[in-house]
Amino acid sequence: MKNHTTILLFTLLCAVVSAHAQTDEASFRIRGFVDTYHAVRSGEPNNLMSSRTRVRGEISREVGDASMFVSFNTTYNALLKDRTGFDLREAYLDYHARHWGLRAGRQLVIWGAADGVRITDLVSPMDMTEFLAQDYDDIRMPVNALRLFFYNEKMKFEAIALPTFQGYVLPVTASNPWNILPVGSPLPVVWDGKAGQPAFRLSNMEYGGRLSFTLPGIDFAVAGLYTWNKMPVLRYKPTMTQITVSPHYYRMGFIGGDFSKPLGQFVLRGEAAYNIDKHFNYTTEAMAIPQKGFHSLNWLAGIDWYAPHEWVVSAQLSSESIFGYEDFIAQPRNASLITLNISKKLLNGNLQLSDFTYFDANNSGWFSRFAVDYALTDQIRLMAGYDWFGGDKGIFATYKNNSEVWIKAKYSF
Amino acid sequence: MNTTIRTIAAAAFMTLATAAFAQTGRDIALKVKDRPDGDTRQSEMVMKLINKRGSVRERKLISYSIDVGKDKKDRKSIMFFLYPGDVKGTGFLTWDYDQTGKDDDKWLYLPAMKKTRRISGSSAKTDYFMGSDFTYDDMGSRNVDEDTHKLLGEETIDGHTCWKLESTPKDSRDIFSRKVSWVRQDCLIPIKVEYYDKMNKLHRKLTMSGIKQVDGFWMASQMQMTNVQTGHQTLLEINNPKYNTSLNEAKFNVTTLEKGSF
Repeated sequence: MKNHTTILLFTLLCAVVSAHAQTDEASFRIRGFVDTYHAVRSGEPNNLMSSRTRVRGEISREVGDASMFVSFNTTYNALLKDRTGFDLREAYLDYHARHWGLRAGRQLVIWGAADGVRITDLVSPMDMTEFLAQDYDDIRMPVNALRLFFYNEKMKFEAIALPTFQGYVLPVTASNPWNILPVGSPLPVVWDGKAGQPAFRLSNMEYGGRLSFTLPGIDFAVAGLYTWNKMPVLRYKPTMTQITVSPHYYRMGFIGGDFSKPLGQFVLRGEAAYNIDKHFNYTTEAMAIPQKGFHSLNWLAGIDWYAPHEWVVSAQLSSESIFGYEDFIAQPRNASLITLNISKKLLNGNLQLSDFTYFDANNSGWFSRFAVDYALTDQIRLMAGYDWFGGDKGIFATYKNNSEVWIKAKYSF
Repeated sequence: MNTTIRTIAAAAFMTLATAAFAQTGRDIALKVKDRPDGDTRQSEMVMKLINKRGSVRERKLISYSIDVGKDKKDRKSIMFFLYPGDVKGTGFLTWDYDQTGKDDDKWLYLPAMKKTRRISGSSAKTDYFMGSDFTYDDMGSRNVDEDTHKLLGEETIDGHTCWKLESTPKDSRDIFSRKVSWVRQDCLIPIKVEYYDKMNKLHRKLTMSGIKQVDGFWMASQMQMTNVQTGHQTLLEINNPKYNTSLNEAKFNVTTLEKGSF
């Protein structure tokens, strides 16, 4: 009901904005899309993995150096009923003077040069409701932030403060095929999402900065952030009647940087972060050991090939090495991930074939998303694809029965 | 007296004739490239992509550029997509260098990802621009010494005297083996260009029309590029052109690209 009221209020707001837009076209810009996505497990029992339809609205207004931006999703999710409703995605104000600017409000913050892998990109958390089996821009979550910018033609310094904490959204409902909670337990497993959340107080604020340069022949940046590890450590607390699982978040920091260097048809990319006091999940047998932080080095090297005839091939190798490693840490001492992205445009750009693969080098597990994307008209895109999971160990192997066929249609306005 | 006049006229004719013949293909190519078009320029572009069945796709962009560097031979440009909706807000920033062999610097901003990507400055040149029949090279500026130019003579098209110029790329990776241009002598605009493929077969044909002066500079407001081998064509219309407006070079940067407007 609350959702319905919110939707009604927002519809009215849109109508008002729309009316103004018609009378003063220069003031408001309205854009967005309607999309519908459905996925079916390719193996037995061929059940529905996802079924959702959404309206994305984006409203912006620009007057001189000042602007505002609002985006929202209104979703009907047939499978995950708690995901049906209105969701304010971004809402921020912007000011850009000649050499400084600010952006305040709910916003996406994307740092670094990596694709689909987080090294220094630790500001905006991720929505893992459907694991990685959704568009990457849907996986990224906005945060409440104040950002101050100082820039000239080739340099930009960004200072950021996040007063409120926002962690990963994890799939923890039994109706979700991507559920990470144990199944088949003799006792009911209950998720207590609020138990380990940092309190909303000033001392829990995140802050940091990034200094970036865009120069002829190279881009590079250095960054540092005092933050929270937004991927929680999960604690399991059994009682006589149930097992309670709660996420616990810990402070961490990082210093790091990234670069992009074009070389002919290629672009070399690199990114590294030295993580300070990062907490990791422990093995099941070591749950009773008190949590402590470790330092780790997380790095990535990548290459993009902008090949002739609209082929693009990108490969990345990333690895995280934990210093002072203990055997009870669930993650390997050196965890390596390889990604490969291949895309090709055909029919004057109206048809695109692509495949993005993650390969877990430690466990020989993989997730590969193959997609066909056809522009039926300037407004409508039809998409279909296959998400293939495989391996014997590791996160991708956990989902090896979740390989799915999916279809999507999108109308942009 | 008459003898004197005849002598002067003959001498003048000889001088003009010698000057005309002394003009090389490269000279004309250089004139075309250096045709005055102001130090800054901005315009809105409507691009219609038409396949051989007549189905039309449309792209709308707004573009800004400024000449920079020594002798203002380099160019910085920024382009924002306005239509269709799924690419609206996408932006390209290019620092285009006149120096032969020096790759351009290019950045692409994708609003859905809120991310700016550094992209290759060399490979895209021979690819087609956003599904159109124009290559990135056609849309940008090309150093005259990337081709060998040969003046084939003069022809009259629609009442305009034109130089007929043949240009052959020095780099074998270029998508055309040669191109033949008909350059209007009064305004230095190539009103017709034919691009030949590696088999020396006609591949693409460009015609420019709607030629007029805006702010004192000659420009073509309509361009039609036809791929004669596939039947696909692109109509490019340039609206609301402005020259020598006060654009600040410092704004041709990633911050402006991410802002989505100039």
